Amino acid sequence: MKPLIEAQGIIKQFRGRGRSLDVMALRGIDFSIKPGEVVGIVGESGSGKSTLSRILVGIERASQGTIHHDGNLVTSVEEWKKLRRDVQYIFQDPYLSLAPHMTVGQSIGDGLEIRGEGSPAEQRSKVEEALTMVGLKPADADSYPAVFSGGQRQRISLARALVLNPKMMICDEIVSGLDVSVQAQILNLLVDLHQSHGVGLVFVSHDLRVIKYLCERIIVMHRGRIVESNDTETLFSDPQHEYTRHLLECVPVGLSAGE
Amino acid sequence: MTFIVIGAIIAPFFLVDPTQIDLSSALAPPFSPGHFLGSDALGRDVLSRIASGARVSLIVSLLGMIGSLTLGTIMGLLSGANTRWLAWLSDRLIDIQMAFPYILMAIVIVSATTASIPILILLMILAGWPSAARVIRSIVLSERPKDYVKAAEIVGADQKRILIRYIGPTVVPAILTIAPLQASAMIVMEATLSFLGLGVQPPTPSWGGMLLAGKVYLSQAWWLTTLPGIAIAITCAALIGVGEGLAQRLRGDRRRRVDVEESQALTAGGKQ
Amino acid sequence: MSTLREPDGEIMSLASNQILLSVTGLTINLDDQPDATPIVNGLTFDVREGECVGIVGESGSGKSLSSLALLNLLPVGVHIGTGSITAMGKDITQSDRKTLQEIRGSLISMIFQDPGAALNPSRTVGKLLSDVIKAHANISKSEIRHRSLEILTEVGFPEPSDRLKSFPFQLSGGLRQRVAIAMALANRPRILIADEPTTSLDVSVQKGILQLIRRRTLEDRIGCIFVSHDLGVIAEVADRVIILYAGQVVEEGLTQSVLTKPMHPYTRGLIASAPNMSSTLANPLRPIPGTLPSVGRAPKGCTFQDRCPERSNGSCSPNQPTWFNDPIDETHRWLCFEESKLMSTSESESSQ
Repeated sequence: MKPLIEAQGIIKQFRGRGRSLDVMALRGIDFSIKPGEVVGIVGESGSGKSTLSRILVGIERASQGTIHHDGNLVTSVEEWKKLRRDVQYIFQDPYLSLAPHMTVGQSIGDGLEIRGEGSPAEQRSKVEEALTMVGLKPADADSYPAVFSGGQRQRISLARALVLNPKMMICDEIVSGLDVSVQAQILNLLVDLHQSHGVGLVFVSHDLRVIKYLCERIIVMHRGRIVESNDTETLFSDPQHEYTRHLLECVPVGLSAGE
Repeated sequence: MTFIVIGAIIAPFFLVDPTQIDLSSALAPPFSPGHFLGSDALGRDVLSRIASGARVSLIVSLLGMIGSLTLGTIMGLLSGANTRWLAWLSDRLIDIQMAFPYILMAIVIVSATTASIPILILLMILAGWPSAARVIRSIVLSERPKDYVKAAEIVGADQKRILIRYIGPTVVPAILTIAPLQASAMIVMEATLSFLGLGVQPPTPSWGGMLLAGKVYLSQAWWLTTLPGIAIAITCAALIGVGEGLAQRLRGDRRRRVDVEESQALTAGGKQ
Repeated sequence: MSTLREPDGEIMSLASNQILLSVTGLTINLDDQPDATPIVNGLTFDVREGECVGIVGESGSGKSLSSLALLNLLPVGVHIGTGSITAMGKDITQSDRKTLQEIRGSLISMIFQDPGAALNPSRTVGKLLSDVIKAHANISKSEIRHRSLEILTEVGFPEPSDRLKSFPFQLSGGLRQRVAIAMALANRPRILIADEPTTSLDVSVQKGILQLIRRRTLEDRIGCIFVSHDLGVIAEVADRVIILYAGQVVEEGLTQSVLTKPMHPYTRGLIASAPNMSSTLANPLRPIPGTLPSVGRAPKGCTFQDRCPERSNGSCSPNQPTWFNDPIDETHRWLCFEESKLMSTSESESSQ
C-alpha cells in the first residue's frame, strides 16, 4: 500500500533570536505512514516530535527535506490544500484551539463552508453528526467554547477534524493536560473512530503508557532524530536503542492488581 | 459624559441663539443678566456658544474618531497579513504618518484647499488613524500564532478569512477601549486647529474658535477663553473616564488564581 | 518491577514514628456562597517522620487547595471553614502572620508544579538560596554559602560551586526543580509539601526527582505530603495515599493496599481508566462515566453518587456514607454505603 504521507530528509532549524543560538529541532527525519495506521511518536521535550507533527500538516515549514502526499510532492499552496483534505490536526491546548468568539457550530463547520460542500442545511446536519460522533449533543453547536471543559473542547476539535472526512488525524499531545478519567474517554473515542471509520492516527505524546495503549507502531524521538521505530509489542519487549530502554525504565510503573 | 452629550444636543433648542449679536451687552462678565456665563465682544452669549460649540465639536470629533478607527483597523489588520509586502507597506505608512506633525500637515492641506468642516474631519482622520492602527496591529500579531488561527488554516481558511472572521472579532474590545480616548484626542485636535484658524470657521461656534476669538480679550474678559477651555478639559476627562471604565469592564474580573512565584516567596517565609 | 518505596516491613514501623502534622476535619469553603458544597470537606490525616503521604485527585478534588491550606496560603475567594491543622504543636489555622512567616520555609516548606514560574528569574541560584536562608537565620555570608553548597549537593545539583551564579533560565526544568527543592530544604524543614512537582517534567527527569524526594524524606526524617493526579507516580513515592473526589476523602490507606485492592468505586474507576504499562486494547480502559462536578456543586452526602457505576438506589443517596475498614490493613478504609457488595466484587476479581 502506498504511504499516505511520506517525509524524507526533514531538517528544521530555528534561527536564534538576538543572542540565543540557532536550534536544530529536526536533524534528518524519514517517516511515512500508511492509510488507516495508528502510529505513535514519543519523545521528551526537545525531541522535535511536535515540530515534526506540525511540518507534516504544513503549519510549520521544514528547512530542508520533502513531503509526499499519495506519492506526489507537496510544495505549493494548492498541494497543501489537497493534503489537508486527507490529513487533519488536533492541537494540545484545548483552551487555545477554538476561536472564543465563534460558536462551536461555526468553528466546526467553517471548513465545510470554505469548501462549499453542500447547502447550509446540509452543512449544519454534518456538524451535528460530527458532534454526536464525538459524544456531544447536536444542540451544543449553538454554544460558545467558554462553557465547555477541557475534555469537551478536545472533542469539539476532533469534531472539527472529522467533519471534513479526513483519512488521518495528527494529534499533538491532545490528552496531556486532561484529567485521567477524561483522558480515558478521549482515548477510547479515538479507538472507536479508528475501528468504526478507519481513520488513521499519528499520536504524539510524551507518555509511553498512553502510546502503548493506543498505537500499533511507535517511533521514538530524541534530540531531533528518530532513534527507534518498531511495532509496539516488539518495542516494549525488545527495545534496541539505549535511549528507548532508558525511557522504558523511567516510566512510573505503578502497581497492578494482584501484585 | 452623558450629561455633556445630552446638554450638547438639547441646549441649542433652549438657549439664546449663539450667533445673535447684541453689541449693547458686549463683554459682559458671567452672571450678568441674560448671560449666565457672560458674553463675548459681539454680545453673543457665552453659555449658548459653549453649548452649540459642544455640538459642533462633539460631532466633528465623533466623525473623526469613527473615520480614524475604521482606517486604523483596516491598516492594522493589513499589517498582520501574511503577504509580506502588504504588511510591510502598511507598517511603513503607519510610521510615516505618525512621524508627520499633524499641524504642519493641516497647514499644508488647508492652504491647498480651504478650511471647512469636511476638511477638518479629514485632517483629524489622517492624524488619528496611525495610533489606532498600531494598537490593532499589535493585537493581530499576538493572535496570529495562536492555535485557533492555525486550526483555521488547516481547515482551509485563507488570509482574508482569517483576518476578518477569526482575528477580526478579537480586536473589537480594543477598539471600544481606544474609541473614547481617540475621541478625547479629537476634541483637543479640533480645538487646536480651530484655534489656529484651520478648523471650524466663524460664525459657527466651536470651542477652538472661541479660544481664538477670546485670546485678544484675555486681560479684560477672562471668561471668553477660560470657560471654553474648561469645557474642553471636562469633556476630555469625561471621555477618558469612560474609556477607563470600559477597559476595566472588558478585562473582566478574572478570579485571582494562585500566583506561583508569590506562593513560592510566601512559602519561603521569614522576613519578606 | 522496581518501586522506590521500602518493603512492607519498613512501612509498618513508620506507624510508631512521631506525628509531625495533624490535619483534622479540614473544610475549605467558597467565599460568599453558603449553599455551595465545600471544596474540601472534612479532610483528616496525619503525617509522620520519614513518611510520604500521597494525595490523589483530579481537577476540583481540592488537593491543591488542601496543600495550600496547610500553610494558610489560600488564594482570594476561598477560606478555611472548620477544622484544624497542627504542626509540631502549632495550630496553623489560628496562627498570626508573624508566626506563619516563621513557620513557612523553616518548619514547613513547599514546592510547586512549575519550577520555572516559581523561581524569580532575575535572581541567581546563589541569591535565591541565600534569600531563603537569610529569611530565617542570621548567619554570616560564608556560612550561607557553605549551607547553600551543602544543600545543592544534597539535592544532586551538579557542580554547585560553578553554578551558583547561574540564572534559572539557563537551567533545564529538572535542574530548576532541584533548585526549588534545595530552597525548600535549606532551612531543614520538618514537613515538605510537594504539589505535582514532576508533572511538567520529562519522564526521565521525573524519576530522579522522585528518588530525591524519597531519599530526603527518609534521611532527614521529614514528613512529606505529595499531591498528584498520577497513580503511577504516587505508587513510586508515597507510603500512604488519600484519594480525594470533589473535596471528599473517598479512600485512604497504605499505597499497596489502596492500589492493589481498591474498594471505593472512584478509586477503581481511576485505576481502570489510567493506562499503565500493561494496558492493551484487548483490555480497554474503562473511563468513569460522566463529568466532574463544578466547584461548589458536588452532590451532598456521597459526592460520587451521580457517576458511581455501583450505585444502588436503595442505600445510596441522600444518606451520609460511612467508613468501612479493610480487615487486613487497619489503615485502609473507604467511604461508602454497602460493604458486602464491594468486598465480594473484589474477591471475584482477584480470583480471576
